[in-house]
Amino acid sequence: MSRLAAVADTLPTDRLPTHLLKKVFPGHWSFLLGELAMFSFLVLVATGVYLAWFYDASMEVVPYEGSYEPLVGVEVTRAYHSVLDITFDRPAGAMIRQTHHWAALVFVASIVLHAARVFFTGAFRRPRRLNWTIGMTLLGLALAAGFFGLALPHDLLGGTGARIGHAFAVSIPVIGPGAADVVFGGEFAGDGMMHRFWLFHVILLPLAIGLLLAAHLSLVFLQTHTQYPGGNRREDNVVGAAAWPGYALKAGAAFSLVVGVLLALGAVVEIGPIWLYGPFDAAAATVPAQPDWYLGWVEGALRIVPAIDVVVFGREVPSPFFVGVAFPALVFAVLYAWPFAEARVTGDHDPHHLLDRPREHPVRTALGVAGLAALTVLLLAGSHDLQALLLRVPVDSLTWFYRWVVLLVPPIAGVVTWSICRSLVRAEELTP
Amino acid sequence: MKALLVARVVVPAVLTAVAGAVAVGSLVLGAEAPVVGLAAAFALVAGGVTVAAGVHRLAPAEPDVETREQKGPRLRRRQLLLGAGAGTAAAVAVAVAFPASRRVSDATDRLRTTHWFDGARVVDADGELVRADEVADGELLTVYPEHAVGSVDSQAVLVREGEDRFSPDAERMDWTPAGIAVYSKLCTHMACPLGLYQQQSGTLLCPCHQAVFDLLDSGRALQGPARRALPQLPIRIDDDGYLIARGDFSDAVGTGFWGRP
Ligand code: FES
Repeated sequence: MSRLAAVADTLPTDRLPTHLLKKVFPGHWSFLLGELAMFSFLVLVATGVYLAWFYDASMEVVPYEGSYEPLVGVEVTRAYHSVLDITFDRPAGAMIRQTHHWAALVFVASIVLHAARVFFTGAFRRPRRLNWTIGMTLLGLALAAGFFGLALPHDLLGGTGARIGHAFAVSIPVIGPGAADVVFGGEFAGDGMMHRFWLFHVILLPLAIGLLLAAHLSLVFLQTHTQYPGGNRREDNVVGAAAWPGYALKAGAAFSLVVGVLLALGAVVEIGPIWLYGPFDAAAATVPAQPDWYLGWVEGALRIVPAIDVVVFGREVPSPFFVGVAFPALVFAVLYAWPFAEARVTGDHDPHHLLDRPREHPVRTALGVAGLAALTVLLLAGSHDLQALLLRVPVDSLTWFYRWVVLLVPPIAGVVTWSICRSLVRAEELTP
Repeated sequence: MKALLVARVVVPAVLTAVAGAVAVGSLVLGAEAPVVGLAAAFALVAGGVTVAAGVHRLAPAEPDVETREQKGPRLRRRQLLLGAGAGTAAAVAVAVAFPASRRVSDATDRLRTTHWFDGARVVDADGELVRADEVADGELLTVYPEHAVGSVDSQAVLVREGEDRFSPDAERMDWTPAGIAVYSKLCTHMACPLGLYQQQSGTLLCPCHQAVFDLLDSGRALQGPARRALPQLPIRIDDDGYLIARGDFSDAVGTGFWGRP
């Protein structure tokens, strides 16, 4: 019996079924990314409860009375007022709001990194294809939650984001105006808008994320975790730390670290200063307006894709549809379909528990890198007006620059990745 | 070995205790939130390091091994997939049917119309009536219908230029009395409010994606991603010199939508 087990034995763990306690989880740093996402979700829920306590989803306009001097007397909505109150007049409100915002950024980032790890190591192959689709759905829900969360303070930036979302929604053929009516509670910036957003951000989306997360983790548990090849690791075993005590303690330690770091960020690093953006004013546009990073790729596409209005059956399909709806839908369709398409193409329908080394699957790796490169370029293009200001060049030239870059860089990145993979493998073959 | 244990486990443990004490102490003494938060954050990080290092230190030399059933899980995947597929299909069907049942046409009508009508008086953002002779040449003013100040879709820009500068479409000859023209303030690309007026050229620039509209030529879209002209508001001047609308805008305002005629 190891010393760790001896320590653990002092707890009454014998009351729990042993097969749960003995469940083995492989340890590798890249497996922590998914955990990071889960932990930031827990932080989001905890801080979110505090924020929901004081938030008021009303669009009624009242003069601001509170301790932020520059806005005293300014006409604002109750929604904006309540977020200012949380920030300036509630105990630890600013810190908790900022922790919530930071946790949201980390949440989406860790989902993306986790998905990238799963992609590049082929962990999505049978029998985990269902869990891949659940994971992609979680990513989509996280993006939606972020969109509504940014809009809730009803500041100039969030309101501008909501207006862009509205333009996307009404552009959808056939159901657009009706769907926008449901999501935005009537016309844009109507009295019911914040209440709908509140319902989505505070109740429906977290509930859906929580349930799907439970399903995601149950499947990981039932299907056992994948592991990298090497050592005594085989398809028919799992090598790592047992759930209790090793894995549980490590996970607890990681949770503590994540909460600590997010709290520290929230305490000292300012984020989302809505008091500087000012209240939403339908007659004013924010220049420059950038969404949070995880929506930036859509913003970038909006800025560099030339406008095209298409007429179908005598009806106009407005240009925002292609960039704001069709393009993200296409990205997600590719992601959802990947495991099934890859099995088709390679003819490999076998279940796999040992992970791939990315270099040994150069085509998949190259395509993945090319896709990520394209999205990264679009993300950068999403703030091209700021860059133009910084570099003292006209915005228009940067628009053209990014048009070329988004066409050229992904194929180049793909080819380079592919040849790196090949030469790595060849080098290994030469040195046995 | 001992020294390592001290360095990796005992030191963070002590730091945890100290930071925790500082957090609790500052909370009790009523310190500022960031101070309490930072101390708590530090305690959490140090605590995490302590546990992680401790586990690492005490971990068995050999990792645990569990055998994996080669048949995979007992889940009946096919059924599960089918179930998930059917569930998704049902959800999509509901999502589509629900807005459809809400009479898409109602929503479309609302997008198509604004609060302007024949006889609505023109007011500025403060709700003051606008007199034709009080508008200065080259001035750009945000205006609303009298009963809907602040309305998003009814907001309009009023501009006054020399009458000879306008070259409107034939059927809009009398829409610019006294050299005053009124257009929707919403960009026809994605409904950003317009505001940057360049007097020399008589053009209005959208700050969002740089669409340019010609206010002297029926609001035509000159450059940028916007394709449709800015909808124009037909106006007249009443006997007391005040501006009055003669109907709704010439076209649906703002961003394009499905069902636009
Ligand atoms: S909203 Fe005006 S150019 Fe895009």
